[in-house]
Amino acid sequence: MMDDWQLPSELQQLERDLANRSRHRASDDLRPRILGDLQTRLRAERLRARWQFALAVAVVVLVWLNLSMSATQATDFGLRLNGPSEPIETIAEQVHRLVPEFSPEEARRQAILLQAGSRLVCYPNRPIGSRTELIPFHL
Amino acid sequence: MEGPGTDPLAGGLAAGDQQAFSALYDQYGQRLYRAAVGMLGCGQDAEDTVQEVFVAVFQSRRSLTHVQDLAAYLFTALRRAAGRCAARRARTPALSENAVNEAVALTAPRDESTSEYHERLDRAMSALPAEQRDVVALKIDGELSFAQIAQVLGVSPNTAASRYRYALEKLRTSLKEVR
Repeated sequence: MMDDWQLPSELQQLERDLANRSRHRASDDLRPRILGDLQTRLRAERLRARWQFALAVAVVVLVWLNLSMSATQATDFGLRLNGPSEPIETIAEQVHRLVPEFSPEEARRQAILLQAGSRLVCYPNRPIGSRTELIPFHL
Repeated sequence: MEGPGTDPLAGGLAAGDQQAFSALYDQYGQRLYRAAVGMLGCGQDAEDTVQEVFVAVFQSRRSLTHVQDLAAYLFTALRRAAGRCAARRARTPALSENAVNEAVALTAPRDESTSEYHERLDRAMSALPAEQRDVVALKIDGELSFAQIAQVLGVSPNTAASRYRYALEKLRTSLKEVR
């Protein structure tokens, strides 16, 4: 290899002289200056990485919120009012036509019940025996 | 002089370990500085260049695990930084009168005749063509092998060795002329 390559003795002496002259030393503050600079850069980089992580998390949360709100608005949970929405008198007339034997008062009472039932929100059925169980109202 | 092979420091450097950078400076800092002085001929420029090298290493630290020869990598970065420094300050990377005086002042105290001789050596170095001066700086001041110098300069080891020999012969001639 080239490192084993022999120089003439005169050049070898010159090589030694060059090596001896080459005793320049960096100033004492170079080491702390360089390492301090690197430490500052490392700290700044880590801080930037933390902010980037926080920003990424915030973006994910915002996108998730936006999607969930969109999904909420677009999903039919069956909360619409069912059944008659006409005035009580109209419903009472219909009840009276269907069941002529009902007195006008009874027809009106049934009409009130029908309209009240139509405002009930659809809940899942609770276990039988629950005191707060809603009794489904059917026409 | 280190042979090829992944440097154990590289892992720590890649992880951004502060201790690894301290160890890197302790291992290579002075050699890089001396080589930079040899290339640029100015202590202040050499310090700035060494700092630039460490910053460059810091910024590309994650790729260091793929580096086979860390010394060659560092001195390649040093040579590029020295070239940029020379271009930035709009002067050739040769020793100016002031730079020689500064370089002499930086050396350890020695007797008058030795000092004069070394000063003549520095002046003779400054008169070398840049490619030969770089080889001498990398070999003598950077303590690199010819294989590593070849990597730094992008030439074959034989070419690096030839340039080194030509540089020494030219130095010998110019020192004889001064006498």
